[in-house]
Amino acid sequence: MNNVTLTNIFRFFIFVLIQVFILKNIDLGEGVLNYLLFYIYPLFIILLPSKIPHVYLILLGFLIGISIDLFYNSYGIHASAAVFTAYIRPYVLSFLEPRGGYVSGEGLTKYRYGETWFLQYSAFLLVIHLLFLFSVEAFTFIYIKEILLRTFFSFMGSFLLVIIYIFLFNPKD
Amino acid sequence: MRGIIQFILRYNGFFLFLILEVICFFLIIRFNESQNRIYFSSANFFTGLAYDKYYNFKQYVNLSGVADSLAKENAIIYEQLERSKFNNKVLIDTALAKNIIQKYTYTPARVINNTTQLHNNYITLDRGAKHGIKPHSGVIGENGLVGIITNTSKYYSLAISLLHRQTKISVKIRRNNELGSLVWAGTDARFMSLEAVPNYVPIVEGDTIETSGYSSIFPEGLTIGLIDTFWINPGSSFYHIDVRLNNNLRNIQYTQIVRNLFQEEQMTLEEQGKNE
Repeated sequence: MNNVTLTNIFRFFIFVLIQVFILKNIDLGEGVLNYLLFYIYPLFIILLPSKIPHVYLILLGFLIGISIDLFYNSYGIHASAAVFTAYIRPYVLSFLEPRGGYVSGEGLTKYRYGETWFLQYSAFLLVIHLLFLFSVEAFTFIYIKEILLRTFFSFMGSFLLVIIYIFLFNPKD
Repeated sequence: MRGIIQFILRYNGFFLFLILEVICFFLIIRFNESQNRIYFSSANFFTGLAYDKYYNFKQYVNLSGVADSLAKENAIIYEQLERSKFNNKVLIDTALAKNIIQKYTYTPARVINNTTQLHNNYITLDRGAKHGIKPHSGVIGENGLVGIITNTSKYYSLAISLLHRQTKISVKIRRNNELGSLVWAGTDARFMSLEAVPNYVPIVEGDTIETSGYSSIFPEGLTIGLIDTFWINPGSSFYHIDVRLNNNLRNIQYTQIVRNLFQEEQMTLEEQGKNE
């Protein structure tokens, strides 16, 4: 087991713990703030090494999603969004491919690919994840306005967490 | 064959994705109540819309635009009926300005989905929370009862049909005011069973069954059906009575949703009494 694998296993548990014991309990109150929810666990999918086989990527997405679901009592909701995010990741990556391409087996981090690229990439996947998540949660598009509001505000909150994590620890992988 | 396998291997990510999403959605529908309700009640936007379109077509064929306005007029007339009013007259003080006040309101609604062949049948109506429909309202048809509202969404509401195992309606025999409760045995959409009528009460075939007004849902005196056959099982102190329903629940189209404006008051009071 190499370093990258260990880092990711560690990150899996840390993110799940932060998500279900801290972020889940944040309640900012009434009004617009009601739409603001914090999600850190999508960062696990975002940071998984490049060129990881698509099948493993999707399975890992399912694994973290269903772990979150167990604590949120929302069987399948987070898992479906995480699976979708994992599925779409290679396409986002090829869309955003930098000039040098990706190096196999390395983390897709700010450390390796630079600030601009990482912020673009993580914002892209985060929005996709949140939009899918809230759509599945509502389960109907009658509440499209609420879904979009929730996606927008939660993206603001969650992206802030992503930035804090990346700039605080600046992980290599 | 080789080609198919190669195809699957080439797109294995996609197939795994599909399989996992199907599992996820199965879990969502199986374990999450609100999504489950949206999925199964058919009171959801898309199926509702589909039923709506289907119905619109059917309505056009039936030229029932005329009936639409009639339904509205019916609602107004129902509301003016005596049994929709609450007598507020107090004998001590007859100077009260308003002695008769509105107790029941009626909202016409179209049936957009209906089953009668299952053990537990539901009816979807095209009026919902936005039109002021609340759960625990009654649904009546031209010739009798239809069901009771259980869930509402923005534009649709779901009612348990009379043809549901959990339906239990407080009724009486018009001729002698004997009380009983009407349930469905789960087999024939034309008949319901009248229970809890003691065997010493004189009844005859053809007696009219109507609502008792004791529940907070339906007004008193709505005709439901006629006694079809009855017998006493040996050793039982109650009749077994089959009631033939006046209305045909299989082809019901227009309904009125009855709302008891005093329901909350009555229920709160009865709840208080029970708790003391």
